[in-house]
Amino acid sequence: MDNSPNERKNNRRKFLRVSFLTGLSAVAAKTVCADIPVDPEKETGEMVTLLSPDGQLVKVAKEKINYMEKYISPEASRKGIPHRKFVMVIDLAKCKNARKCVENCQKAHHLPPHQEFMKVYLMQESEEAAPYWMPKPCFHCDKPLCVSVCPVGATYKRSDGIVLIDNERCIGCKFCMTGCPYSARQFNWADSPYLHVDQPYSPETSVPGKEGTVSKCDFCPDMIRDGKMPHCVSACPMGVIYFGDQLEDIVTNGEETIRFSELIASRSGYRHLEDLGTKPSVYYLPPVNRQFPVDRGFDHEDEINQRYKDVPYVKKMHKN
Amino acid sequence: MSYKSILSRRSLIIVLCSVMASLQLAAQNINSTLELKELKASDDSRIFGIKLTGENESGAIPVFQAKVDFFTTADGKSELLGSASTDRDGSATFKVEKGTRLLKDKEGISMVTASFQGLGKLNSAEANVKFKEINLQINLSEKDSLNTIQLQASTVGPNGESVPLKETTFNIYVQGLFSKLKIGECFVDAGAGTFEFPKNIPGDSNGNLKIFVRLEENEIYGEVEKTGNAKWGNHRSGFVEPSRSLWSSGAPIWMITTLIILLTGVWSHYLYAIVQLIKIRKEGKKIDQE
Amino acid sequence: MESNKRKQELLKEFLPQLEKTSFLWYAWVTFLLGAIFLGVYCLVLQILKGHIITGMRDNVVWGVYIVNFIFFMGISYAGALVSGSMHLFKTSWRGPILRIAELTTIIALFIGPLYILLCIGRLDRLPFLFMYPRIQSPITWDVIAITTDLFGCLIYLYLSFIRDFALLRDSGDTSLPKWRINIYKVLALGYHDTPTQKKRIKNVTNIMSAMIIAIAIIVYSVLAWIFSVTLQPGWHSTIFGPYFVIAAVFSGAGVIIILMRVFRSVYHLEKYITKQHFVGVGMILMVLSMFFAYFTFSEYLTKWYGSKKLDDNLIQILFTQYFWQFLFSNYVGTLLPIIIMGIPRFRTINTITFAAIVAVLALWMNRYLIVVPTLETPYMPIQDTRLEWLLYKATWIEWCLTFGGVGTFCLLFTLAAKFVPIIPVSEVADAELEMSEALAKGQDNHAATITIPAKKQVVLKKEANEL
Ligand code: SF4
Ligand code: SF4
Repeated sequence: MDNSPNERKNNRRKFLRVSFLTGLSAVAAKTVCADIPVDPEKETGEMVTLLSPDGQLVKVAKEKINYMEKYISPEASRKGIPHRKFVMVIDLAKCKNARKCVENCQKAHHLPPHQEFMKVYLMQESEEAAPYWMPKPCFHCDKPLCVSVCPVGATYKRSDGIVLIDNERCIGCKFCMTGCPYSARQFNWADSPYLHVDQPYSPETSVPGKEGTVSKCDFCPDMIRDGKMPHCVSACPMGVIYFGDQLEDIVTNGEETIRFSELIASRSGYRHLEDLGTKPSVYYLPPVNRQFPVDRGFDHEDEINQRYKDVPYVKKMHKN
Repeated sequence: MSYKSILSRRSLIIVLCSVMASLQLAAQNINSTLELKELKASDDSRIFGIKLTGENESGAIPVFQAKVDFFTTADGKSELLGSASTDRDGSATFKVEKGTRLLKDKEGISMVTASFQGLGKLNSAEANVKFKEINLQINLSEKDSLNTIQLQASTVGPNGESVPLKETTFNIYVQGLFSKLKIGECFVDAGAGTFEFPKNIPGDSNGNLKIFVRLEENEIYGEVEKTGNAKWGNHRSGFVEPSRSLWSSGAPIWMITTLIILLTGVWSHYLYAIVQLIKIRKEGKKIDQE
Repeated sequence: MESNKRKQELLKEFLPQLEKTSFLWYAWVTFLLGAIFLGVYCLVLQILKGHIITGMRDNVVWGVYIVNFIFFMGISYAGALVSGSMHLFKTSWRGPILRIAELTTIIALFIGPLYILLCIGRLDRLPFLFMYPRIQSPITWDVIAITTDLFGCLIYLYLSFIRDFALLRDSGDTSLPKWRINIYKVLALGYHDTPTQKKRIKNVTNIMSAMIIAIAIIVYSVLAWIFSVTLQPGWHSTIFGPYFVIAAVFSGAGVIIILMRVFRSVYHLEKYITKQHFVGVGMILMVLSMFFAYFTFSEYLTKWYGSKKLDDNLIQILFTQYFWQFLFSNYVGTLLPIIIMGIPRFRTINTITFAAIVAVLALWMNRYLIVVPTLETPYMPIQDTRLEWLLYKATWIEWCLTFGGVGTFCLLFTLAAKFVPIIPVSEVADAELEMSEALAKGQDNHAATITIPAKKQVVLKKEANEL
């Protein structure tokens, strides 16, 4: 029945069915069934707001989300969502290395445990300076050196400010990795089960990854099109990460919604390593009046704490 | 179609079995919790949202496809308004259209009750909200280069007459991509209030704004909302993709010209060398023939 | 014609090298094939299992491979520069070593790019480089530059071969198999040493040698820019272009000396490749090592003197973790050639060769120190849960592929020396002729004497006598 000559179409159909089944079972597993006959085809009439590829807000019944329409091909992903310029603001005063952003991002992008699009650094500018936790995604720079140096245009800057990688184009020369001053990019060094996801590839989801190519944080444009915020933003229990559209001048962390310009002005927002001139789209609010002492962030497995052993603060801690 | 539902039902049964085992359903009943929220929407209908969860040791679990009934209750009387069925998040909404008669007590207060009867091992649950009728009208006007929102609000007196609203604060929002941004508050007294809309809100690419006037968590009136559209935004021009830069798809002109000059310079010499070689060959051929 | 007779005479002398193959030769080739086979095996492994089997990780994304790439490209450009400038400036003693330099150029140019391919994650997508080129990327510059360079070098090399091909074609009573003679015949393009043909060849060779010099400089600078356009503290340097060019010629001169030494004893060329040649190229080596030392010094001095945090990190790691390597590559490697060449007493063929070997190894190490420590000290501190991801350590796969490349270089050289005389016969014969003419003239013409510096004249005389 599915002898369609178009392989991609076929794949997508398969994906639809699989995701539907897994989705349903996920629901069933989390649902106390009230002994009511289950009709999976039934619509509940609930509506979700979607952003269509041309930037319109459309309402679609939740059960009727058409993956065919939602699918953004590598070619289509080169155009940004019109009239948007996405920014992120990270409030360092609130971060306590809860790592929920890291974990949820990993889950959403099918990353193995050690690969992190979002990383949490323990920063300490000098021995005397105060240490603080610094979540760091890709900065989606407005002058992205990673894009400049790519020989085949596999990575590109979109009109909405997002920098994506098309891993069907990437030749894996890793030049972008040396070009990026923020260590935002990772190489898929080997084949792994994490790279085999039955889902059509889109640069907007970065899933499935491909061996021998580069990947990085993508600002979750698939979520944005759905009217939802990137996974790290919604996952953070502290509301550390704000996300929004700079042109609209509104950012939100899910709980509070603030004007971007006011937030930056009132809290002295800055961009990391501004003097490199890459013009990041990610802003930081300085770690002043912190809500948690930095020690609270060490509440993790040894393996994760191990990575901070070279920070002067940690060295001192171990000495005492 | 049918094979699909058979398939899904079978997988569901398997999953259910494991769920039951882990929940130890056989042992005790499960307490369920019902949350109820109410909103008077912009079209004057009332929307009731519920969330039904079951309690077990791992926390609250949404109840899927449970039937929840809605009643209007006052002075001991109760009438069924309708019912709704929960979705995979355990939530459902129920809409009461404008003009539907709700029972009121002598102070004019209505109460709506949502009730889940309980089924099988699941205990019943109930929740209710109380609210007093309120009428809100908004008017967006542009006068003397001032953008203002005029609010008019009234409530219902003991005899059904309209009474101007007193000393109530409304919140003003605009819609953003992901959420609503609060831009100010409007104090309403004697049934009226005005709000001067700020000039520096960008809005969408055409400067359009969706404005929300809301009464929130009010003890008497519950939640009330009115929306309106206005072209009051001062949208900045969008992020323009730089044409011909290092990071665009087209290269800067100087790069292309430099490359062309260099390459023609070099390759023309190659060409010259090859032509010379061909000439040598021609001469050689002549000699060979002789 | 006198020169023709001399050429045939010379050819006779070299023909045995082309005709006979000794057991040792086969053993040597088998050994090289073994090394290459091991390399191919590793390459297959790397393709099958992915780059995870190398020591490269997310921070040090390029390792030994890119070092080899820079190294071989450097040798190639050096060969081009040396042979091009010797030709252009009509260095009198160039004859016997010209071909070694030219072969070095072309063979290294074939091998260098193979190493950049080893850095590429998806070799199946190489055509994308031509299908979707972005000329903003230094890699695209490099692709264009290397292709251009390759063509130029091939033409240049061919030009210098034609006359010898013609000789081989006309050599008559050789025991060379028929097919080889036929190949020579085709390749000789019907060259008969007529005055017009002679003039043409000379003319084109002059143009191409100038071209080659210019291209070599540009191409190697482009390669340097791959590094220096990035923001990495150890790479973002304006002097990288000239620095790389100097370093390239430095290491290339070293390789040429080593090859001269090897061919001198293997092919018994003591008569042709004399101490004078070693001293000549050795002088180039010395001058370049001075330049190289100067560049290296000013590069690291500014980093060390200034206080930028990241520069400081780099200097720190260079002087602690990489101390011995740093000492070897930037002190021993530059000072040794200067000492050996600078003090006449120390100059012997063997010491010069020794200096060359040290210089070549030091230069390789220098590239390693440019690439790896820089990547180990990025802007964001390296905070990884995986210890083996912190620092780079090349795996045996990478080493095998490195030796495989060296093996290929040696094999191609061995084969080339089997196919054409390693001494450019026509060139040498012509030079001799010119020389004796000049000498003859010099006796009664003062003007000519002035054009040949006194010291050189003595050399020329000596050489003429030796012959
Ligand atoms: S942070 Fe790095 S990878 Fe991200 S856009 Fe900037 S340069 Fe590119
Ligand atoms: S690794 Fe891929 S994305 Fe990065 S520069 Fe190379 S081709 Fe472009």
